[in-house]
Amino acid sequence: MGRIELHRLTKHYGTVTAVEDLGVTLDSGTITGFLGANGAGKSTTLRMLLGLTRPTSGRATIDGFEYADLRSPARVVGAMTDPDVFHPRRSARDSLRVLARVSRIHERRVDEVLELVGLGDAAPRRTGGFSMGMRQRLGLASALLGDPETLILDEPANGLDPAGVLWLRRLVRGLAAEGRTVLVSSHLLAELAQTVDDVMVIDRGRLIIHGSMTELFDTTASDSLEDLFFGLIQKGQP
Amino acid sequence: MKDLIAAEALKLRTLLISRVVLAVAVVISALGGFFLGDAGEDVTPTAAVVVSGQPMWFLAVIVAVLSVAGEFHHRTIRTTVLQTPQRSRVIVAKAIVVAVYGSLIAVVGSAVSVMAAVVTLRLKHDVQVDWSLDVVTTVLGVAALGAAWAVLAAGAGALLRSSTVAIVAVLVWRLVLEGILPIVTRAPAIAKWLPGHAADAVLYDGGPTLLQPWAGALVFVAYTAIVVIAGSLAFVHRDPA
Repeated sequence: MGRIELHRLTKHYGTVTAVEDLGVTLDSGTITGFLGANGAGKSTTLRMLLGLTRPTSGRATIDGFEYADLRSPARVVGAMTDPDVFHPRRSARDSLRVLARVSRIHERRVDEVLELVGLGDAAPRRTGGFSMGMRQRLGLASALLGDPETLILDEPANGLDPAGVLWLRRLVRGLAAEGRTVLVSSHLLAELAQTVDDVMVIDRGRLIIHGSMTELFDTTASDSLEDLFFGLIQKGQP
Repeated sequence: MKDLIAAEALKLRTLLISRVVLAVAVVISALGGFFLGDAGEDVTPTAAVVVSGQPMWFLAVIVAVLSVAGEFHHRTIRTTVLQTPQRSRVIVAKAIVVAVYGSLIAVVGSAVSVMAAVVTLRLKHDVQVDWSLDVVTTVLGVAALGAAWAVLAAGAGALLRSSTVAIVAVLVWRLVLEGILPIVTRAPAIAKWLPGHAADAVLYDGGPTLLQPWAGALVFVAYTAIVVIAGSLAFVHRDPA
């Protein structure tokens, strides 16, 4: 469970190619860091995986199913794409109650995930008064609501303070230790290096490299994820 | 589908705007009923229902537009379609929920307006009201139109994706363009075929200037269907931001 496959995934916006012929398989129970410069195609790839954007061609599947074909997606995939996806005049608890209701998730679980992300006390507050870090935590809570096998997190550390980043790292590692597959995109390379097992790098919509971080360090003679990333981006190929 | 409808209803219930609009509906209807009862002794409960109808539909339009276009404005549409990637189901659930809200607001408005008119008639003119079965059928008509206006507004919200633009578009069309169009086109006969006039024909006896009630209902349903189909196609085929 939790296997992510991208098969010749391509997206064109008019004459602009956002993602081209992307093919990769992420195995269950791994944490994969998804790296790329701004505009490299990370968000478009994640959006196609989550059914938010239709591919021009190719397929993106989770456990063999395209997102649109999942009967109860929240129980299969937890997604955090943007912290600003909650109505500012709705409380944190009500925001999650709405999501829980769609997927027949018990309201008890809403309180559980709010406690898990450290928002138990803020549950009755409107999200419009939340800081960026609190909205990120709420986004994580919504991703965890259905207790899914797969987590897709787009820039989850944005807006978190150092303690929050440490908390996130432990949370993600704990989730992977339970056998979940985690795909996480981030610009915080040093932080990502301490969290992920595998790395996937794209540039200008094309896959540059994918593999175990330690193996990639060996094959590219890199000392750090920064070295690896900037070396690959400058060369444009492995 | 039942869970999706329940979730959409929960979304509406957990936003203050739905309760504020309901409270505004009660106040407007009470004032409308009071002024109607104050004006004359020959006022009927049916007239009190009719007088409350128009403002109730506009209030239903506001809430219906916000429930759809507001999702794009606040970007909650992302979580909505992540939970339910089959987008056509989302639009159907939203249409059902706003239809119920639209008819509810119309029924509440009718009841308050009738009560205010009856009490005013009794206190000011010492008149006992003549009740007839007409009032029931008129309330049903007002409720059905409240539902239809709300569904049409939800379709406009899905099509335009902007609460302000959609609300202004519906109101400008109804309050301005429907009055101007027959003049500009020099074809006064087309007025009764326009959506607002067709809806009015369901309740008002407008003689030759309005369609028969059944024809007005059919024409208005047709307009609603066109807007909803256009909005649904846009909702399903245009990816959310």
